[in-house]
Amino acid sequence: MLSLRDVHVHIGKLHILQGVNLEVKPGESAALLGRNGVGKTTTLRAIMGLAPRSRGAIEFESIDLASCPAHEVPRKGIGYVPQGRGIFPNLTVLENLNIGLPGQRDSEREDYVFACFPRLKERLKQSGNTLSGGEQQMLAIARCLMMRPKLIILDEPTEGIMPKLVSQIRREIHRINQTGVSVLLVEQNVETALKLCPRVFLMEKGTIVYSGASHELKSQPEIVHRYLGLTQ
Amino acid sequence: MDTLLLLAMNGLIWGLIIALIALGLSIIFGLLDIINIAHGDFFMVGTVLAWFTLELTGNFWVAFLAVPLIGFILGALIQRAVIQPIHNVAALSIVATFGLSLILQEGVRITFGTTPRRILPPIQSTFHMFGIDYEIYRLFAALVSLLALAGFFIFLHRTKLGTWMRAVRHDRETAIAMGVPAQRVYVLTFGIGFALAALGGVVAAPITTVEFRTGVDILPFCFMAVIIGGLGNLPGTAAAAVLLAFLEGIIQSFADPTVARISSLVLMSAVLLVRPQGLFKGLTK
Repeated sequence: MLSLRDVHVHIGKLHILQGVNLEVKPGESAALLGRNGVGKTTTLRAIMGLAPRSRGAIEFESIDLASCPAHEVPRKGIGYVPQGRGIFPNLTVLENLNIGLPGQRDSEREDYVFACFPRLKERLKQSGNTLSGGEQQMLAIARCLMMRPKLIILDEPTEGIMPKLVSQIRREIHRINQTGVSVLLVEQNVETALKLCPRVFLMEKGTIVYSGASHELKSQPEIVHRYLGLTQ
Repeated sequence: MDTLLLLAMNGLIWGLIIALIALGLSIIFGLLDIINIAHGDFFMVGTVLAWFTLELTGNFWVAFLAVPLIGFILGALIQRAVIQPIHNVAALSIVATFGLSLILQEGVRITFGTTPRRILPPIQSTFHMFGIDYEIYRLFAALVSLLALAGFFIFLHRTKLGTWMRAVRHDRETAIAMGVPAQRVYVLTFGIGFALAALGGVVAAPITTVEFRTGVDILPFCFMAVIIGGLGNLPGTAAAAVLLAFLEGIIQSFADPTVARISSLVLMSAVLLVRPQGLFKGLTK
């Protein structure tokens, strides 16, 4: 479904991604883990066309994403929940939800996202900046779902969220995946990532250094310690 | 007292026209980070095109539709040819738009000539109010400006393009990641900015002189409105333009126009010192 082959990204003189290889299969849920600054967010930005790659190929459903402008990527079926949620504070909840739809409102889809996040329905006319952190995260995920994505990319969706809401967001991500939508998750909370994603990629210095099943990673504490700095 | 009222009314109406022009300047700055030195010349081009429309068709009213449309197309072309290549770098925009300003002025000077022209108001009648005979066209100009301002804010809050403009203005990258064609939004925004200034030019043409340097005096006034209203604060900019012109109108009833302009500059300096975020920040959004 999504494949990255030898992807390199330079930002100024810095060589951020140094040959990333990664594949997400249809319906799969995969986590991209690593310490701060190893290039996880840049990898996601490269997929979305926001970080121009200097070498390599990114394909989604056999379409080379290099051939389409960045704003067309969501229409190909890739939804993106950016780090920090990326809610437009000056737009209402409804405007935020429909921002990516080129034409009229999609009421059928709205009903679906309100079923996932009923709290948003009560706040339709409110500005994005009046929502709590958890509600903003729900809105960011709901906004993605409005575009009927086949793959949803989430960059630290539980960052800065109340513990009570973390489990709800985790549940919703699992539920979205159960409906057949593939998930690529970047997450600092390793426990959340391993629970949600059967497959895991570990990044170090701009490359993927480990790729395998989550349960296998759990049984290799030395790798977890070396690349994530965690002791089990 | 009659003079005071007359100048206050003139100031108010002029303020509404300036609000239209300053709004164009503000959306261009707010969305594209472009400090548009040529914006006064967009207004000047509007007045000149109004004059040409009248010469060609014999009907001034045609200009109300044709000139903003031409302005929109010119704005979109300028964005693609001049602004897009400099990648919205604010410092470069000053140089690029200064060059554009010279090109527009010289272009008009060559085609239109250097002689200032006057356009007679298409509505000649006056009406008696508070002891003075007041031109009906000026009230019509105020009405057109008010309608255009209202129309612009409705467009901004009720249309998809307006929503996209507000989204791109806040966070371009996230907007793109959500599927917003930011580059197209930039082109359309610059076009709308030019169209608003050109409409201001048509409305103002019968109450000002039409010449290649008409925009030079307008530009500082627009910048003052943008600064006093708060950078990027569109309703604040419109309100500040009306406030400034109204104050200048009143001051002109008992002092020299230069003193009135100095008063505006003093007000702007005071706002920058006391409320650098703008006079209307918090009251409007």
